[in-house]
Amino acid sequence: MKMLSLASAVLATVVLIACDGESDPFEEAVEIRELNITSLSVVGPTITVDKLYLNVGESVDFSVQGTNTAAQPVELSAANRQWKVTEPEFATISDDGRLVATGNGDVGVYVTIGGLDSDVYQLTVSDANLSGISSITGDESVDRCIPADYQATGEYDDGTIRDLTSVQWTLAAADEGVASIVSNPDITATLTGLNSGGVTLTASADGFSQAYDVSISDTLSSIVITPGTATVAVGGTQSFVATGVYTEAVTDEGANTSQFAITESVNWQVSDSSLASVSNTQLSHGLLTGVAIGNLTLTASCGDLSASTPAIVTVEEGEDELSFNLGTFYQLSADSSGLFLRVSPGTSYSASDQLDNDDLDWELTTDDDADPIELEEDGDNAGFITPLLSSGQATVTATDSSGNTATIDIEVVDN
Amino acid sequence: MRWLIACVLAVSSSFASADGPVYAELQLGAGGVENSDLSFYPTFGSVNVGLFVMPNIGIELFADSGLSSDRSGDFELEVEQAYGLAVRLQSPPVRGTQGYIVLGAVNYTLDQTAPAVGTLPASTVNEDFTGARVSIGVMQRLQRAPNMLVSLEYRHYNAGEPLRLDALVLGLRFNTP
Repeated sequence: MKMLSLASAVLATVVLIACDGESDPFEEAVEIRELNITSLSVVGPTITVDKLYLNVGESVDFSVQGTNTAAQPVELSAANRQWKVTEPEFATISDDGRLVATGNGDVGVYVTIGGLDSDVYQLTVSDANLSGISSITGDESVDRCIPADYQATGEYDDGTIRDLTSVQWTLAAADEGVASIVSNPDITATLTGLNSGGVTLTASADGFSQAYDVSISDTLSSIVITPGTATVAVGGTQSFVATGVYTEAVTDEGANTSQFAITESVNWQVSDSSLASVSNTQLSHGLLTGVAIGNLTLTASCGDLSASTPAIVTVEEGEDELSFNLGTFYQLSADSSGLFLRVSPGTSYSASDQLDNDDLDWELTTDDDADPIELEEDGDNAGFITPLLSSGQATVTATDSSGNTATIDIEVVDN
Repeated sequence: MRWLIACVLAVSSSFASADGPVYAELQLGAGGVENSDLSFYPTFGSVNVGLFVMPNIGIELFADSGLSSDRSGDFELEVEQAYGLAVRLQSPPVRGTQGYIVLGAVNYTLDQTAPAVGTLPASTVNEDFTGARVSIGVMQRLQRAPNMLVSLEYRHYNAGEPLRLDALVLGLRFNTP
């Protein structure tokens, strides 16, 4: 019994001994080598001034980027890494790359991944007060419905110029129908001109303010909605894209015309909201959802200019028993690194019912001579599409084991 | 009753041929280290010195030293060193065979290197770990040298995810008469 008690006590002690030691670097070293990474860079917040300055108590998130043997950037997770600061008395940094300024002085930030040290990012902690807004930077002239970013810098009583992170951006009351302004999570604000004219943008912080005049050019000549016609199942969804055609007179011989996707900037409207709804929410602009059987039109407008030809939409009973996460049409930017198509049963996509892509049969068809996209048909990456050409259209079909199918048209565009 | 008599006889016989209080052991181990998709099998040698504080319960000091590294992919890994303190719990002998469990606290060092290849830089990761070490094994007394025993044990070092370190260890033990 005494032996049993002793054994139990020893066993309990051993079990309670916590393992101390970093095993992640061993795995990270393999990760780094498999990604062919030759160097690491610490990526700080977006700044427009020469150097990052922080007040004591302020925090900032850092990320890390690798460069591979082909000199291409490789995004790496910043979480659970060995982040370090050169001067721990001036700042601390967490395993996820969040730095907190604790004392005045110069600080270097670096990260070690799998035994490979990054370069050192230099910043300065200097506790100071804002003494005025020194400048606003951004385009003085913008086109209608093409968003433009603005940022403000401030002068501090220690003589430093810093990007302002807590700025209130406003437009004069008279300008509100002419443009809209939205503050972004970073230091910028995005202004979208709706009608031609001039607006005054004002940045305010800590009791200081500065105005900035922006003119909105009258170059938007028309808006085109793609696809022009579509059939949507009741409860199903369909993404629409708005393309702005901009005309700028450059010579006596003619005008220079260019096109930009303005899906996120236009205002979408359906002719009969009892038959379908359309989203004007950020990142889902133009996503139409069928509500009841019937025919309707879809219009996109930028200020007082509407699409010359509305899209014609038919809402009917659903036939396809599978649905793509991106609806039946998607515009893929030629410079994107690709994305996964996802499929679920039903007339509209449901992430909670998502099917395993590797269990589906995938097919890519195109009328063009060459495939504008590459489609992974098997394995863990099944359903992943990558642009191959700068333009073109292809159809992707996914079929489940019961023979149910879903199709989506992918158009590659060179934005 | 027969079980009771058997137990009494077993215990009394082990006391009758009881070893001295001090023992030492030389061991040769082959480790198995799993890191990501890579498997390494480095070898190491161990020296244990112990003292029986009660019948079949010993306290021992141990020290390991790497003998050879192993290569997998671009990487080479070695169990550089280990040392610690453990408690040995062993069964009474049955025909000279004893089972045992060794529970210990260990500090050990793993060294993983990869050479520079083209523009890829060389990589070195050298980390100390402190944690638990658990061994389970059997040992057999040698008939011609009653104070010597050979042992074979499975050993696990607690390294924390995602690393895993196990070993198979062959040993030769000397008991004081």
